[in-house]
Amino acid sequence: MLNLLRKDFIAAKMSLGMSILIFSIFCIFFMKKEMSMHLVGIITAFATISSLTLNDTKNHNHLFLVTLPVSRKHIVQAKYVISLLTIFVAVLASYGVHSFVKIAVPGYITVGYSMIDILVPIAIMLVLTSIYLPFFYMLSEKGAPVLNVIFFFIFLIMADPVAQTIHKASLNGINYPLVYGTLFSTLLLFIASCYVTVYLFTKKDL
Amino acid sequence: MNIIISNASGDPIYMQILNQIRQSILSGELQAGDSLPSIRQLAKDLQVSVITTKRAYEELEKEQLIDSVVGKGCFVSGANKDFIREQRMKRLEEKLLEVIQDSKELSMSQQDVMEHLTLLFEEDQTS
Amino acid sequence: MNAIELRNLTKIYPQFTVNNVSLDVKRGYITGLIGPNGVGKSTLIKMMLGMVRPDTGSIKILGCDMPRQEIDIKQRVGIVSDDCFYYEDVSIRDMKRIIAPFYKKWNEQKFNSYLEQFELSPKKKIGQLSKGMKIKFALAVALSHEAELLIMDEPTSGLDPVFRRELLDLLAEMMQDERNTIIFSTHITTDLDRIADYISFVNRGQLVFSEAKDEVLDRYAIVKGDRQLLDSDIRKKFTGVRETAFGFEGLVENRHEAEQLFGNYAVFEKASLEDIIYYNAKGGRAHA
Repeated sequence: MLNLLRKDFIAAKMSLGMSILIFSIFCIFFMKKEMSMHLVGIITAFATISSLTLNDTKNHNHLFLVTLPVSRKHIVQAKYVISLLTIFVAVLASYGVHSFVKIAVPGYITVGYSMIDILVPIAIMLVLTSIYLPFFYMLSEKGAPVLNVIFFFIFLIMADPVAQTIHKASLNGINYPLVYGTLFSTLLLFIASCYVTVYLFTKKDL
Repeated sequence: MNIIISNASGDPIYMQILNQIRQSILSGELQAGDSLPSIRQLAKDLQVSVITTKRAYEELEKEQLIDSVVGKGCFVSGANKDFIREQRMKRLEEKLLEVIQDSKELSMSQQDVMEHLTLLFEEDQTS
Repeated sequence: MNAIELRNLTKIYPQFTVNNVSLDVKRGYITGLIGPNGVGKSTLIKMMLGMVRPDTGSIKILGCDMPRQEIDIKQRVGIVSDDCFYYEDVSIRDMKRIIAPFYKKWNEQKFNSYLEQFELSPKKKIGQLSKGMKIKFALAVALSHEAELLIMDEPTSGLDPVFRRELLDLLAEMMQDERNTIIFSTHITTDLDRIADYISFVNRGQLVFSEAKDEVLDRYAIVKGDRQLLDSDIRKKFTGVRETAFGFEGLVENRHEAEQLFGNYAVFEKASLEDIIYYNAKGGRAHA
């Protein structure tokens, strides 16, 4: 498992630079917007996950991976773990940068951040990834880039309204049990999605 | 010992190997107790299949010309000394017959040839 | 002892079927899997590697069940394919850093000496390597984790003649240990057939034969002669015949029988593996 994670880090060296670039650009452009913190985290996380997965299909790399002494189950599980890591890192980095700017340049950012502003982007990303990864492993090499484009569009259209709704909801007073309940169920969804993907990928002919 | 394999030859490759090793043993180039390359080493050097060299060695074993010792490899056998000697004698006779033929062409008598031979023996001993 | 045991493998594709193939690959020997392109060689190899799951049948590799003991099997198997699917943007050195930790018996020293022998620079990106160089790299990886079984899919197709000869030496070197086994698939029979011990011939999704190479070559023969010698009964004796205005040339499976049949009226020649593939693939339909 660790070896598979290491593989992703080495293979994705180039695309990690890309993710940092995306992160910085969106930070600069969105910073003044109300929902900047959520969007930057979500966009960066998704861009990173999709580039990590694309890396494996770009050159039929699954054919290489299955020659190594690992099971397909491990290959899928490692991808879920690294996606989870990516989500946390991206959201926390976004939170970190925004909080830093808020303190360093008083008055630049007017909205206040709370725990819920971290949890919500994470929950959104967990749902997206849970849908994205099974499709990715089910589709052929040609299908994957198309899938990425579709997802990216869905996400550009959906991101703002969803974030707005959440923001409004949070203004009306936060229902903490509901938030934690939602987060918990998205985690369950994520794990269930992992099992489904393992099942699909194990049966697939490469 | 040289082994030369010819693809143009009508003989199967195992036969070519067999004949050439047998030749080396009968000619005395390989002596009893001399070790032979392993089946796999020989296959590698000749770039032929392991089965081919194995078959050649098996035939040599059947003729009692070589022994294979598990874990140690193959050796020229001493078991068939009489046979080897017989074979070498036979070859010597063939050469002597040639000498007789040649001496006839040179109209040398049996006596002349014997004397010549004695002379050569003496020379060989003194040198 | 068999290194690979395939039992009644069937896999149905829309355009093509691997039909009930059972095959034993003997441990300690080199087996060549031959046949024309697109008849199921690669599918069989992919099934051995667990890339393609058969519809029915069972696979045993080095005594272990595939796919149940897949990880154990792959620790002991080296794989070289004409297309190795490494990460293109990564250097040879980084690719090694990805691969090496997966293997329990990785031999770094061996790997480096192979890189040197094959003239592969560790800094070069995989994407910049030629097909032949990629195969060399795959071979270096396969030989550096002490694989007992080397499975090669069309390994010589991208190699120049010089390295093909070197490859023969490398393979023979591996075979010095009689516990090791090699199987390769190829449609070019000329160079690797020299060192192959066994030949398994696949045609149209089925196994035609799997035997010691020497036996195959002794059994088959090419017969050449006057077309008047051929009638419908005699034609049946041939695996395939090629007829021209000047005579016929055909492959018979039983040399002995054919020699009795034709006596001195026809010329007999040793058949090559290529002849055997050609006439089997063309069947009785081969006419010039």
